[in-house]
Amino acid sequence: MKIRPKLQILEESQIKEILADAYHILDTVGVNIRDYPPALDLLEEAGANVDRDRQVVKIGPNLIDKTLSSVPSHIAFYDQDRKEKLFNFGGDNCFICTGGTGIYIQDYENPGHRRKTNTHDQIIHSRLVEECENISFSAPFNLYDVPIEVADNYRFLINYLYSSKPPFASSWSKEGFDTMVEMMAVMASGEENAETRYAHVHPNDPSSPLHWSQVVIQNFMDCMKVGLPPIIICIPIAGGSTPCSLVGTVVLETAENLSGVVIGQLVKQGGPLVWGGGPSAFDFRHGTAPQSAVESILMMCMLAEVGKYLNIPVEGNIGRADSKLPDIQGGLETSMGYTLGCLSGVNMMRGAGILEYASTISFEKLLVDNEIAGQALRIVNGKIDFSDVTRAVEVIREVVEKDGNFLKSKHTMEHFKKEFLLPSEIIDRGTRTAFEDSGYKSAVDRAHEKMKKILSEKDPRVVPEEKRNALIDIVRARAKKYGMEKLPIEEVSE
Amino acid sequence: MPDEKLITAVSQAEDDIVFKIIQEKVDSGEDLTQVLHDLTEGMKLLGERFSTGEAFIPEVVFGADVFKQAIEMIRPQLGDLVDKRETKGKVALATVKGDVHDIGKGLVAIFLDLAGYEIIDLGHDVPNEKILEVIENQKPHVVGLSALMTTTMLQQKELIKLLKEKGLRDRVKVIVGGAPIYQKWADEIGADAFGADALDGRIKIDSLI
Repeated sequence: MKIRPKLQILEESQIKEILADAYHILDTVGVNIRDYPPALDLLEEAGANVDRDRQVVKIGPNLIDKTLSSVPSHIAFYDQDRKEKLFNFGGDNCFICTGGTGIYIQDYENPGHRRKTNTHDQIIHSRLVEECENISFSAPFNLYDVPIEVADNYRFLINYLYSSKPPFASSWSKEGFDTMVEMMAVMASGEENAETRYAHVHPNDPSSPLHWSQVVIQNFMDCMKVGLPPIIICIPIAGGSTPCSLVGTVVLETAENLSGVVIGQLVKQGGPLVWGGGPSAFDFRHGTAPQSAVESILMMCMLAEVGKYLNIPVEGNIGRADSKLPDIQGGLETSMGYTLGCLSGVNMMRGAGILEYASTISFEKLLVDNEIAGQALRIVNGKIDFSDVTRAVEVIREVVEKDGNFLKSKHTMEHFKKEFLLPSEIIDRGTRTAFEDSGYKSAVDRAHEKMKKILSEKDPRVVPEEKRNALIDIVRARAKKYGMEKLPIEEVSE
Repeated sequence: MPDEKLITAVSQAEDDIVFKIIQEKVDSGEDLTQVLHDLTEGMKLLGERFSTGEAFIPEVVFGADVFKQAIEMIRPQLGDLVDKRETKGKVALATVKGDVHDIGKGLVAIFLDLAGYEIIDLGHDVPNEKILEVIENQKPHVVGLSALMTTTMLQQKELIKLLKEKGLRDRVKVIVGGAPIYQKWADEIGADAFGADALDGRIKIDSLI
């Protein structure tokens, strides 16, 4: 028997109360959908009460119940080329995603300092993610060496060229979305049944309280249409855009997510989507929105419990660090997030390698987070083997009677790799002498060395030239409209 | 003579006490000019308490609202005098079109208010046409544009372009802010300043006026 440790904060009756409150809010307050009549038309046709002047839609309980029943509980994910099935997303399975969203790079040589991101940074990041065995999804970040209008497609391109893992990436306009879909078709070309093999997720962020902006709702509905699983992620600030109480924020986010479920299932009944969230606890001294605060994590775990109760795959902006440096604070924040998130069964935890309110990418932190993730996942995915063999009474008798030790035991030989996780060289469990001999290095120093080693010793993934050129052509064509004739990636030689 | 109890209550955002003291003064028929000074002094103290880390943002936000309600209580007697506080300048603030995130912009408004500016708060999801109209008609010294999303920051660029096209660029200073915004972006789009956070926004606006 395998033991899967679990954290359950809310009792079933409390989850039902939260859902009843959220239903009531959608029925009596409604959700504001801005400047996108097709969404209002769709909801009105399905029986919702639409106020066109205020662009507010009130959604009754029957419509919510009906649409909830068709949401798939699991999504099978493939690699970006849609060749290989990687994992089944849902249930209590936990996976880690990188943070994405960054706009700066942490400078290892000059700790605490940062600069804007560029193509070279994304190449390094995607190559590192490819080698992180505990990170399953790759979220590319914002790049500033191309016109901002095309940066959504461009980062998607670079990530694809250097990582096979399913990306978590959004587009920022209708044009960006359509281009992304065109690129995905190139990536999947040559594969049969590509349309039923999911290889990407697309975040869509309604804004608390109860707002869908035009670009977000349009992209969300388009995701459902083309079968690109969208994640509904409200990122509220408790005490600012949601109530200053943990469960009040969970109630409001539940209502927002349910509005997404209704719209999504009306666009495509039975289409996969993900119940996400990224609550933060307002820091009332500095006016910042830390997602690493213990209350932020607790809110996310409770929101996940509601999603799991509804049998929908769950994402959480969890494991992020708000420290300015990849330091002890950063390690504490990510460790607490991953540990609680794993125990709660959050299917996707998005936050590896990111600092400072999701603004700053750190390569060293990414590699440290891969280690933290390994240990947190060990708690839940590795499971604790509880059996006659692992209770080992006969082994204990045999060893003690012979006055021996367990190191020589065959039982140890058979179990040491299964029972204990062996971390990489980033986690120092060595001797004092070895530590001194290697130059008194910190975990961040060791991560930096590992990064250099990966980049010098591991070959980048190889994308067939035909596909590579086709993708570059697509993005270049769009970039030309904004004054860029040649993409920076075209200057990079392999 | 200043009423220390009132000043302290305002500086601590104690709404019930503030309203009770003012109501008593209104009922007694005494001259309320001193109350206006005390309210202003209390708000100044609240700002200082925030700067030293003693007060928190909700107290400042709530306190600003208490101040506004208190002003309305004395307006019937003092009339226009309550609006004749000296201001450092007029600032129009907006969260740009497509973006409904206005907590940060709201904080900027409060810090500016505390510092003595006149604020025109246009709210969120504000089309550039509306901002242009306000610039033309109400002639603010500064316009502050907030954008939280990479998708909406382009609106800041668009507004500056429109200002140039309409020959209005010299009439107003433009400050930009929001999570994805940075100095180089402000330089690229031709903004006059970049506010890294609400307090920095207030400081930069001080330097623009």
